[in-house]
Parts: sequence; structure tokens; C-alpha cells
Amino acid sequence: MDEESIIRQCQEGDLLAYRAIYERYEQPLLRTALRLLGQKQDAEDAVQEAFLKLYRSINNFKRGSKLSTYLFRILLNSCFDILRTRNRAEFADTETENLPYYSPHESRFNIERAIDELPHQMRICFILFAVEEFGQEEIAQILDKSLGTVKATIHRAKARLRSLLSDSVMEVKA
Amino acid sequence: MSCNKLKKYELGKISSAKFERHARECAICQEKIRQDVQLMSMAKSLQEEPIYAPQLWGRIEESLHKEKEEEKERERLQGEGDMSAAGAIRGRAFRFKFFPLLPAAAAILVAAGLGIYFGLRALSTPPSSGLLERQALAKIEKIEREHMKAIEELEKKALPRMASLDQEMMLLYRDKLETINSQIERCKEALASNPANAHIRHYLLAALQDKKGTLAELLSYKQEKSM
Repeated sequence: MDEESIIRQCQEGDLLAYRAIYERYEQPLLRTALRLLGQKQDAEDAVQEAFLKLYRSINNFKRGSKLSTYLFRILLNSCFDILRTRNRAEFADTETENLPYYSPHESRFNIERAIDELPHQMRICFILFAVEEFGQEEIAQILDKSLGTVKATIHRAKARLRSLLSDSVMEVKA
Repeated sequence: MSCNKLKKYELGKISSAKFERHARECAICQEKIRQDVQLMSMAKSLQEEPIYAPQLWGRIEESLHKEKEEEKERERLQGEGDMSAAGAIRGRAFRFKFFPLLPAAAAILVAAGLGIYFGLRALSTPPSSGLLERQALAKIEKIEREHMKAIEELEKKALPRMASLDQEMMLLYRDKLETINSQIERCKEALASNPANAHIRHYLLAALQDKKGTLAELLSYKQEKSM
């Protein structure tokens, strides 16, 4: 079923259409929420809340918009709410001072740890760009930021990650 | 040694063709590109491990069903003309989640709505009781004027802020304010023909207080938008 039909059915109150959206986006949503919140239960709560907000606001969905962009924007707002409730210091988007050690043999573990070390907004931008493969313009829409800001943030995130990982996995050869 | 051409390219300051020509000759950029490719490949590998959440759809479905039922109830109440109760359901999840003081405001709102209903019904009969003394009426009118003045001031500051809220929040606040405005208007209409009705004065005051509280809340609501 194409996205437009799914949205139309959602607007008619068909819960099966929401199921179709869930099946399509379950993993990207959970992955993103988990990377931002760090705990699976919180990630599930954020996804649940995102679907509830989607249900409440589906009639405001603009024709021609991308559902993924809309859904991720809602998800990030749900994640922010959870972080705000938790009152976590990381939400202040502070620069990380002490860089942890990464084992050079476990690349996935390394990249996960390294992403977790990024300041909040850098982390969001990088996850959306590199893990979920959103375009930079879509990320700008999701985060309600300018394209220039998103480009700069992704550039900084990549530079930071290169630096974090260069001594371990990548082992740059001169 | 360093080279900022990759940065310029990533920020869109030089074209891809120009950067490609440069990168063919620049060992630093070649190394950065190699690292980038590796980094992106590692990041993409995070997609490979699925997150197992077998109960999640069940929870979502349950909450959507509940929401649908509440929506039906809201429509039913709106059909019957009980706007405040409908409004209370509409914003319930939002209020309880974001503003701990909102249950109290909601209670006032619902009480005001129900009160208006019964108050307006009472209007159809001659006001044999609840009439205010002239002096008391003047005092109440003064308090109402003060509330209205405060509301005007708050509106000037709060309403422009609504535009900066995300869509859902903006709609929730708009709905709530519309509901309160409708109550205030209904009270004023009723008081035009019967200014000394104590019940309606009381409900008008509650609605004004609620509006004031909502506007103040809107002003203090901070959205996370910092990059």
C-alpha cells in the first residue's frame, strides 16, 4: 500500500493503517529512540507516545509531506519529553570533556559508544544522517533547523567521531 | 598539516567537482574520505541488529483504541453542547503529562462548564435567590475587570508565542482557550439580561481565572529547540 493511501486510511480512523506504519518504521523509530534515550523501556515509551501523537495530529498532516519526516519529528519530541522528565544533564548539549577508551576489535560496540559520546544535537543529526540515512534537507525539516546548521552539525559530528575512533578501529596509517 | 577543503565541501561552500579535483591531489583529504566511508559503513551496520519489542504494538494499539473511544465520547459531548467536558477530554493527556497543575485547572474548567449548564438552565426561571446586593455586585465587577485587564496583558505576550510552539501544542492550547472563551461569552450573554445572578458571576470568575492561568502557563512553556 502506498503512503498516501495509508495516511488517508489513518485520517479515516482505521487503526490497521497505523499498524502498517508501525511495521514500516518500527525498527528505525526504536533504534533512534534507543540511541537517544539509552534504555529500551524508554525507547518503547517514546515510540508509543509518538504513535499516539500521530493519531491525534494525523489530520494536520500536509499532503505532499513525507510521513517519515513527520513521524521522526514527533518521535524526537517524545524523546525530548522523556529526557526533560528525566532531567538528564546530557540534554544541556554540553561538550564532552573526557573521551573513553574503545576496544579496537569491536567496531559496532565502538561506533555505538562513540555516538553516545557525542553532544545531544550532534548525536541526533548523525544518527538520522548516517544510521537512518535521511537526507540533510529532511533532517532540517525534522529538527526545524536551517540546512546550513544541519550540514555544520553533521560535519562536526563526523569530525568528532573520526577523532574518537582514529586511535582504535580506524588506525590511520601514515 | 591540515586541509579544510572537505569541510568546505560538506558545508556546500565548494562544488563536488571542485572538491573531487582537489582530493585527487590531496593526501589529507583522501585519508579523511577513507575514514568517512569507514565511519558511515560502521554507522549503517547499526541497522543490522534488530531491536526486539514484541509487546510494543499491543501497547500502541491499546492506547489508540482508548484515544478513539475518548474521541467518540468527546464528539458525543460536543453534540450535546457540553463543550467544557469535551475540551477536558481533548487535552487530558497533554495536561497531565506536561503540567502538573493542570488537573486543578481542568477541574475548575469542568466545574465551570457544568455550572454554566445548570446556571443557564436556572435563568429560565425568575431569579428568586442568589441576587447580589448592589455593593457586592460592584465589587465583583471590579474583580472581573481586573481579571480581564490582566488577561489582555497576558494575551498580548502569550498569543504571539503560540505560533512558535510545535503544531500539536499550539492546537491544544488553541482548543483550550477557545473553550474558555466560549464559556466567558456564554456567561456574559447570560449576565446581560440578569447581571445580579450570583451563580453565573461565580462561573464567569472561574473561567476568567482559568484563562489567566492558561495564558500564564503558555508564557512559561519552553520548547526545546536549541541546536
